[in-house]
This record gives sequence, structure tokens and C-alpha cells, in this order.
Amino acid sequence: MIIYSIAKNTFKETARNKIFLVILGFGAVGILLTKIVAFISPETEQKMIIDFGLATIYFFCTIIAIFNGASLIHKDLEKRTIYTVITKPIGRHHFLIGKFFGLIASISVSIILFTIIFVLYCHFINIEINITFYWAVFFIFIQICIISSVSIMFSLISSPLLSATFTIAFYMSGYWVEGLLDLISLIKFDFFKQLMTYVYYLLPKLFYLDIKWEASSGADISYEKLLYMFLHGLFYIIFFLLISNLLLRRKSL
Amino acid sequence: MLPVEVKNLSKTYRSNFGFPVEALKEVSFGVDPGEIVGYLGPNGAGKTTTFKILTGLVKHTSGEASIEGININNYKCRASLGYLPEGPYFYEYLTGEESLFFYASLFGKKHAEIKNRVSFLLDRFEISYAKDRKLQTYSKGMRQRLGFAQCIINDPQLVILDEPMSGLDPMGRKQFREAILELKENGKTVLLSSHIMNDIEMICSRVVLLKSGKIIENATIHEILNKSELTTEIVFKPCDESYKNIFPANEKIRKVADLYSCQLIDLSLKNEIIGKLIAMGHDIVQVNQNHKSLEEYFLDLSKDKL
Ligand SMILES: Nc1ncnc2c1ncn2[C@@H]1O[C@H](COP(=O)(O)OP(=O)(O)O)[C@@H](O)[C@H]1O
Ligand SMILES: [Mg+2]
Repeated sequence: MIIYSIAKNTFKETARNKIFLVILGFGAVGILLTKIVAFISPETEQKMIIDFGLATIYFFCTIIAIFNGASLIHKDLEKRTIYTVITKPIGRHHFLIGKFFGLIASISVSIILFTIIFVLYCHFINIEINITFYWAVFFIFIQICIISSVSIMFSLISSPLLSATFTIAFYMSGYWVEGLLDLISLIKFDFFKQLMTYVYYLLPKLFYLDIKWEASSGADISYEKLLYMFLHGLFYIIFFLLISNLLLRRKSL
Repeated sequence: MLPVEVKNLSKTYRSNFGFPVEALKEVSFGVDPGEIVGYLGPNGAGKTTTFKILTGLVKHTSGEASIEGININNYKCRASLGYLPEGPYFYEYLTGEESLFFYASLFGKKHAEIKNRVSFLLDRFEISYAKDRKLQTYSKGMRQRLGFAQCIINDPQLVILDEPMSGLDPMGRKQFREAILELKENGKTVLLSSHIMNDIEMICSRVVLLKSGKIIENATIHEILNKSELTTEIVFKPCDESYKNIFPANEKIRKVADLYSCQLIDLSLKNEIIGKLIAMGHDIVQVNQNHKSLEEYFLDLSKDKL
């Protein structure tokens, strides 16, 4: 109940923000422009459009997540609106989780909206969409939940601009980490080898959740793998929220 | 089980740079049920810090405190608490009515359960005409009234108000004083801070005086006024210049319109001076015996304990 009201209030904050609506508009236009890329190689049009459509959805939802997440709790602290909230009979974890779900709500709305636009658009230009496409959308959503929890974590220890920067770096490392194990095997010093191994395990493997290629080429993915992917994502979301909770609990407001 | 109980509470702020700030030093006090207690002190005395600790915004360094018998480390102690922060600051994108529903929901109250309470408070604090307007458009006075309304949304047993009257016009201050007295009539306990003593003098039954993080006085208004010395003011209408020789050189005589007045420093001269004034034909208009105001008392006390 308490978490729900904080989430609802957070969602209102985003929904009543003009910038959010502008990003939604740009995203919608971006999706409709995917046809352009098909001109580059007409013989693989189907694959290109689905690939590019997913990338566009991913891109705009990530922007919404990073920029909202990085300022989410920071705004409450800076504008002191938190004083009338945290002093009610609620714990700080209620506040944190509520804020997180509020952000997730606005991301869900965006991703559903973008997906509907894209699917209708594909229907209109006779492009077939398979079930793997929807799984790809779902795992874009999971990736963005991870990014949101990370941006909330950074926003508790730095300014919105810095935490947005950190989150973007973090996001990219989620893809670079794929090559990290090969790199680690080349390291000579044991200490660095150890350190980098920890870093490897600490970073979520976003590349692992990325199934755009399978979606565009129409490949099937086993339920077992989907389950592993889901658990992988869930683990990191909870992990970063727990760290955020520790950070928020220690804070003097 | 007191509404508020504070024992040896200390707080040291540690900023990342510079020196640690000892904002509270071993502060202890209690508030009895049904009292209005003024928590007074100059800016930087530690009033807000105490309230932030009681409301869970800031963690204390040592000591302990409880609200309605529940330790403040347990957030459930705030179920019977209403708090008006200094400021206060709200979500600008919400309307007045939405804000109150939001705050009520944090007590686990459903929309239907709290509907009457919200509309009562909107009426009580004269913001129902603007209940559908976003808070962006609210004036300082309206925000402060909304702040009071959200503070008592849960019909709390204990109300903590941080500088509730600062920045308000005389009309607004009067409304707030009435609202606070109304709480007392309904059997609630109020703890409020202020650096303006006059407001407090009018409504509080007891004051706790704080200076540089230490309590320097904790007494009822009655006790303080009895303790403080009386002053005597003589107001008279002179018939000629001869009155000048009656007063010793260190007593200052002020002229207001065609009346003269003197606030006696040496009270033992009172009868002698009045006698002489009458004997020389001056007209005595008034002799006032005043207690020192809370503010003067507090200033004296601060000087002593420096
Ligand atoms: N977050 C903080 N970090 C460091 N020092 C602080 C902080 N908040 C308050 N202080 C210091 O603690 C002292 C008490 O402040 P405060 O409780 O706000 O006083 P008051 O409300 O009585 O004016 C002041 O010296 C103030 O500078
Ligand atoms: Mg203060």
C-alpha cells in the first residue's frame, strides 16, 4: 500500500513532466523511421527493420531510465520534499522501492507504447513478427530495470549529472564485459587478475540478455535459457537495490 | 510513557571536509501529555537537529529518545506523530487535494477512509478553493497552511512543528496560534520551535531553552515570569523643567508625544521619585509594573551562560 502510493506519486511526477512526453514523441517518430534503414540492403529488409526497431525501443527507454533514475531520489533530497514523506510511519526501504517501481511504471508505459507502435507499423508494411521478438522486448525491459536500479544507486552518492555519466559507463561495460574473460586470461599479475575477476562477476552481463539477433533472424530460444536470463537480471536488480538501500539508510537528510 | 522523552541525546555532524559540528550535546527533556512546549533558541542552536532526530531524518550520535513510548529507531513510532518541517517543501506537480491524499496513504489509509478528513482539513485551512490547483501556484501562506494540514492528517497524538510561524504575516500567525491551541483543546501534545519568543509566550505552557546544542532552561512560563525581575515604568506629564533634577543621571527619560516615561533601573528609588514628582506638581499618568518578556529573560540568560 505504502510502496504503491510512493510509486504512483513517482509515476505522476514523470508523466506530468514535459520532457518525458517529448522523449516519448521522439521515440515514436524514431520507430516509424526504421523503414529508412531497409533501403540500405533491401534483401534483408525484414531482419534490418526488426533489429533496428528493437534498438530504437531500447535506446529511448534507456534514456528515460537514466535521466529519470539519476535525478529521482536526488530531487527529493535537494528539494527537501522527502521531509514530509520519510517522517511518516514508513521505512526508508519503502521509499526506495516505491521510487524504483514508480520509475519502472513509466518505463513500462513507454516500452508498451513503443512496442504497440512498432507492431502496428510492421503489420502495416507486411513484416512478420515472431514470438522471439516479444521475448527480446521483455529482456530489453529487464535490462532497463537493471540500468534503473544502477542509476538510483549512483544518484545516492553523486549529483544527477555524474550519476547519469556513471550509469552510461556502467551500461557500456555491461556489453564490454563479454570480452573481459579473454582479457583477464592475458593479465600477468595475480592481483589484477583477481581484481578483474571480481569486476567481471560484479557487472551484470547485459550482452547475455540481448537477443535482438535471435529476434530478427527468427531463431527460437529455449525456455531454459529464458529462465536463466530472467534470473540473471533479477539477481542484479535486487543486488543494486540492496546496495542502494544500505546507502539510503546511512544518509542524514 | 511520555509523548516525547529525550535522554542524553548528542549529535555530531561529520561533513566530508572541515571540522565536525557538535550540534547537540547531551540534551535531555520530556514533554507531558497535553502540553504545548516551546523549544526555543537562536539560529543554529540545534532545534531542527533535535526534531530531525525525533522524526527519523537524522541518526543521533549517542543517547536515546522515544515517541509515545516507542523508541525512535522503530519507524512505527511515527504512526501517532505529526511533523511540520521548516519550510516546508512539497511536490509541485501535485494539486493540494492530491497532496493530502498522498500523505494520508503513507499511513496506510485508503482513499475512501480518508475522504472526509481531507475535505475537512482543506476547509479548516482555507485552501479548498484551490484544492485542484497545482502547488506551483500556491503562495507562501497557502503552503504553510497545507503543511499544517498534512501534519495533522493522521489526527496525531503528538505534533512537532519546526518554526511554524516564520515568514507569515500577522494574520497568518494568528491563524496558526489558534490552530495550535485547538490541538491542545483536543487533548493533543505540541512541541514547537521558534526563534521568535513572542509567539511562544502567547501559547506555550512550558519552554525549553536551547543554546549552542545545550539546554540552558526548562521551566513553565509561569515559573520563568516569576523568576524574572519586575521592572517599573513611570509615566508622567511635567509642568516645568524641574523633573530633570529628580531622576539620577543614569536613568533615561523618554518623551512620547507630550508624555514622559522612565523605565527605572534602580527599583529602590521608585517611591522616592514618585513622591518628589507629585510634590513638585507633575502629573503622574501611569505606574506600570512589568515582568521582563521571555525574550529579555532569554537574552539575559544567554549572556550569563556564555
Ligand atoms: N547537515 C549538516 N551538516 C553539518 N552541520 C549541520 C548540518 N545541519 C545542521 N548543522 C549545524 O548544526 C547546528 C544546529 O543546526 P540546526 O539544528 O539547524 O539549528 P536551529 O534549527 O536551531 O537553527 C548548526 O551549527 C548547523 O550549522
Ligand atoms: Mg531550524
